[in-house]
Amino acid sequence: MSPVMSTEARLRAATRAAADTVAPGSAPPLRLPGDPAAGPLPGFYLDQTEPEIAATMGISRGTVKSTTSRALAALGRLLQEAGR
Amino acid sequence: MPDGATREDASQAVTALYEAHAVGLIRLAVIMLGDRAAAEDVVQEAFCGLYRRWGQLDEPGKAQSYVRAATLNGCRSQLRQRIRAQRRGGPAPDSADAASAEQAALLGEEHQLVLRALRRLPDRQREALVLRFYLDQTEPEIAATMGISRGTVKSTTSRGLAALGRLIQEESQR
Repeated sequence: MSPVMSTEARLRAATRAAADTVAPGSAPPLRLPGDPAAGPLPGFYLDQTEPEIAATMGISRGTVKSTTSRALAALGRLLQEAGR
Repeated sequence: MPDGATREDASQAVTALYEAHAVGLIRLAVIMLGDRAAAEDVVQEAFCGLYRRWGQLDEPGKAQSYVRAATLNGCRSQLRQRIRAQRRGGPAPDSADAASAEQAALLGEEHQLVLRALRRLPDRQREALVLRFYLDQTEPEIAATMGISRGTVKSTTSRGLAALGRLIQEESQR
């Protein structure tokens, strides 16, 4: 790599190289959110993994993680209330 | 969320847009994040957002700029989560590990150095540089994509380039 190469040229080359790691036609199929009436969070009673839940529900893995942990916390509170 | 008969139309239209633009947007997200799986998630989420808002878009031409903006937003929050995790001193999130492993396998040291420096820039500078020098957008286009004035595009781009040069130097001395 030439030391006189400009920051702009280095940025162009690096972003192009990173982009080229994604081959044409290599996008995974789109999963759109299903009908909200389709049923409860399938994670626990079906023992699905996070990527499986993400695919089933058409949401990102990050959203699966946050939704699952919020739901568990809420369920805990509701169980407490119900026990009183 | 579209309902009834419009749901089928919306899903077909959004799927067609995804097929046309997903690879381009995943590439953009990979540049920002260096992590293929996280990039795919961000783009997936951007199109789910488009689907949820389908009935509210006044013109179909806006769909493409919506998903691009949503992708950039998704990348921004991913990078922010990584920084927060690092500050907590906890283990780096899987995506950050995945990023370095993936890049090490696919890209040479020079490109990795530049991309690491790019990811350390403030959000607006990083986005302006990528839109300008990777997507080859003009200043008015960048202004529209980022929702800032043309003057701000110009100053953000030139400050970003100078800061990137300094960060590249820093990264190369690590």
